[in-house]
Amino acid sequence: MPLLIFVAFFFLLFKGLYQGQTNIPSPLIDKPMPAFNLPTLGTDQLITDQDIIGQISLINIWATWCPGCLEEHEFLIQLSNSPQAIPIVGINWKDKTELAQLWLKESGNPYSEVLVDSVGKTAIDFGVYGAPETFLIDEEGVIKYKHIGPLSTQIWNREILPVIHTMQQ
Amino acid sequence: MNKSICNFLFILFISISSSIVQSEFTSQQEALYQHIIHEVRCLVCQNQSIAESNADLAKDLRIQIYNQINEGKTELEIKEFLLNRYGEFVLYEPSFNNKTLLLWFSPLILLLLIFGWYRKIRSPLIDTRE
Amino acid sequence: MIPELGQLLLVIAMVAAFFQAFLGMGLTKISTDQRDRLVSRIVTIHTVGLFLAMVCLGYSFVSDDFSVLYVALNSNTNLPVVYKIAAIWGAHEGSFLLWLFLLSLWSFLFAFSKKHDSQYLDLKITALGILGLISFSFVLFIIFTSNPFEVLPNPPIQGRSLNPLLQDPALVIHPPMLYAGYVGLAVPFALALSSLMTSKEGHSQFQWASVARVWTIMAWVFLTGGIVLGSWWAYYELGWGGWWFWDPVENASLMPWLTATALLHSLIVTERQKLFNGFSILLAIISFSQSLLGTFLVRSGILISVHSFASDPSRGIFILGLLGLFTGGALLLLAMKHKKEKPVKIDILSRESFLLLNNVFLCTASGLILIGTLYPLALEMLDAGKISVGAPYFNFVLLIPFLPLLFFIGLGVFTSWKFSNAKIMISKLKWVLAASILFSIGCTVFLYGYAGFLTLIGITLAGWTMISALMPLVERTSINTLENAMKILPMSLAHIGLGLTVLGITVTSSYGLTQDKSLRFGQSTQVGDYIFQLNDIKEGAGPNYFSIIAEIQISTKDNEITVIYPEKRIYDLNSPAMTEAGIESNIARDLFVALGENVGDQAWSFHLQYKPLLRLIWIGPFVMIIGGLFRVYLTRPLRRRKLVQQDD
Repeated sequence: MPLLIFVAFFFLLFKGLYQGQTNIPSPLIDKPMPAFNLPTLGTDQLITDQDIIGQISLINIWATWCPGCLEEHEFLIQLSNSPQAIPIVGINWKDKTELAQLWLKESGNPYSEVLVDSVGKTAIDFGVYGAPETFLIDEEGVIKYKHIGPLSTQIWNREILPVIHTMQQ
Repeated sequence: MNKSICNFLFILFISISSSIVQSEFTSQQEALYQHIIHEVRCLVCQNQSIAESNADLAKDLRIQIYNQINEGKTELEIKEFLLNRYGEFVLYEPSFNNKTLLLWFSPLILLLLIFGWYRKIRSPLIDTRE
Repeated sequence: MIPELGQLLLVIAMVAAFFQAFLGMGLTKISTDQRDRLVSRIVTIHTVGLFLAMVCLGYSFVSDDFSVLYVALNSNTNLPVVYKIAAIWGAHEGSFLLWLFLLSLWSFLFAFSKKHDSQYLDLKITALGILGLISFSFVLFIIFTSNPFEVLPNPPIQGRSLNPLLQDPALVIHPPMLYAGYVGLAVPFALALSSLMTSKEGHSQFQWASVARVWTIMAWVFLTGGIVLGSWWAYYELGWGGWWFWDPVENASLMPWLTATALLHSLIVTERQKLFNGFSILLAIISFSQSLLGTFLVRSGILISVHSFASDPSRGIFILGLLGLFTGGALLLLAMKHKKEKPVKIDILSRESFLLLNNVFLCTASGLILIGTLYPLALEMLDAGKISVGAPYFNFVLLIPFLPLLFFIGLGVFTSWKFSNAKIMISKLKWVLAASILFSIGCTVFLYGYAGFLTLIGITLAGWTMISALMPLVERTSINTLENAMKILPMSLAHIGLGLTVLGITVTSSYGLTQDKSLRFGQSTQVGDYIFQLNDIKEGAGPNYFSIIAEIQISTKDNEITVIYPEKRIYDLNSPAMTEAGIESNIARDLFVALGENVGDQAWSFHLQYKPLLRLIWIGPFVMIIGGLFRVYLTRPLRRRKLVQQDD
């Protein structure tokens, strides 16, 4: 009898080895995005979540101290110039304004708006734990998908585009 | 010249890499704060609570919890706040739902199983009669 | 040259282990005596080979030979010599070499232990053969997946260095002691399997238990010591005053400890009363399997832990395969070869019954830890989401077996073999109960105050365990001879140690106070009855670090107690700063201060703790270890015959 328990146990561990580390699933999927009221980069203008509602868009949490963000930047530029483009709202997370402005000037700005979360409260409301994180928002402002880590063409095609197509039907 | 640069970098480094938030709590609030931060997981660490971690996110969460306790929120409200944003993974106490039934009942189940075995070993004659 | 020598030595050790297994398990047709002599010599070669391999690695470290990849990753020229040597076991490859070496050392000691008669000889050699098989498979593992002697074609000028957390005296003893405990459990494992393979019906099938008892206790002693050292180290090194985190790797050490405790109690019954043989064999298999499981969990990357070594699924597969081979094979052997014992009715009030019952609780506890540790993994695999199972779960759930366990330990002490006199038991237990209740009321009313019913139960049970252990000792010293008292001294010491640990845990958890506060120079804060005042902050340096040192003065209302110096150290700009806490301690309480950060406005943040009876958590197991060592001392050959003849 103990042998049987052990065999079951053995298979659990075996499968577990190939699992790898999975990302933390977000409890915010299919819920309205959290309310926020943030200044834009370098100005005093305030933008709220209500200002974003009305079309399918992306919210991208990024910072200059985050290597993955710098990695996905090129893809975001490509996306913003492509025919598939949807508005990308960037939230600059716990960063230095000058550094962020410099980076966008030198490497291009894919964002329709750049908001600044210097305290980190909005990031927490979005359940952010490791930048970059990107949220897909529908026309009503409901979060439909979350991707943790740098975006790329493959990920966009494989994971996000299908969700957009489902939303459009 | 070199030494003062080292010192400067050093102080700068210390200021960034801290682990503690100042507090002006009553002793009950302090106890509640300590209790909660030990039960919240640091999501960017290798299995540490936010009480034990130096990470930025841990610090931010500690500040959040500090503020909420000051506002008078209860433990339940604070935990719900975290659950709504990060999901079950962020709390070290697993919630009680369908998925964790087996987990929470395992002490009883195990005890019954092994105890049954104890009875069998202790009184084998009784069992052979059944 | 030296690394190549090290590799060669590993191969020699592998070959020796192969022959140890081959000859030991009786796969040849030579006589038992010849086998005995041969195997002993082969074990010597194997052990010496591994020892020299470790010396080679140590030499590479001390001579800053960065052509060896392992040395380059874990050391540098500025590292103090002591830590260069301890760095041998600072990461996966080297620590596994240590693991192997300790296994060979146990085999060596076992091979040269005194023999009694020819029946035992066959048992012993077969067991050595099994140990050889284990050694052989793990040397294969090291050579093919985790070679510490791997050489870099372009050696760097400077190594990376040892993780600052590990640059501490505790690194020198904690892993060796812990591993000695883990691999020590291989000896009873091998003996159990050997018994299944070599013994026939009747008396001989219980012989292994008499032999295995001492070895189990020795392994248990090292395991206890290793766990306690780890806990103590975490306390003063990690900077938050915690001493147990229910981290998967910690759990991996506690599980075999619980099972080994059950084993050493079950072996008592198997040796004396010729009962529970199957259960004892099963426990021996499970405890070593849990050691192997621990090794697997730490090194495969399957679980997230602060302790885990760099993960590599290929290593994980290999260890898992070995785990499957040894545990699965052992359980299969047990199922096939176990001879059913004559069914004997055991009286419910007998000592056998109580020992078995308490083993139920110990095994339940061990099983609960296993379930809690692996549950998140299971859910993740079933795609049922990601949860965390941590301290709140374990602290609650383990009470369920532990509370009854402590209660029945106290009862069990007053039972007799085969049959107990209930009246006498109750008459003695009355006093124990009264004394325990007085004790807990005394603690609560006069010392610490009331902190809930659970705390009261905890303190009562701690007292119950200690007093029930002390009473027979006192009785025997006054009534019988000293020698009779000495016979139960190990038990008394071990149980008293347990009681002290429970008392320490209960009191510190219930009455401890923590405060996070920022202080300016001259400002003070109060934690419990103690006042902490910040006097000054200075800068300092060590051989390979810079530090900031705070001066904290601790006093009570009436007098000053002491001044302590919590520090923050920077070893290099890539690693986080290390906290060296300031600790003022005596047996009654610990006062703990950790330095935080400069919060501006000339104020610094501090983490302050008052922890009553904290030291008991480590003193308790220390007393348990003394009990275990004394028991080993009592089994010296001259005394053994006397002990076995006299009845309790």
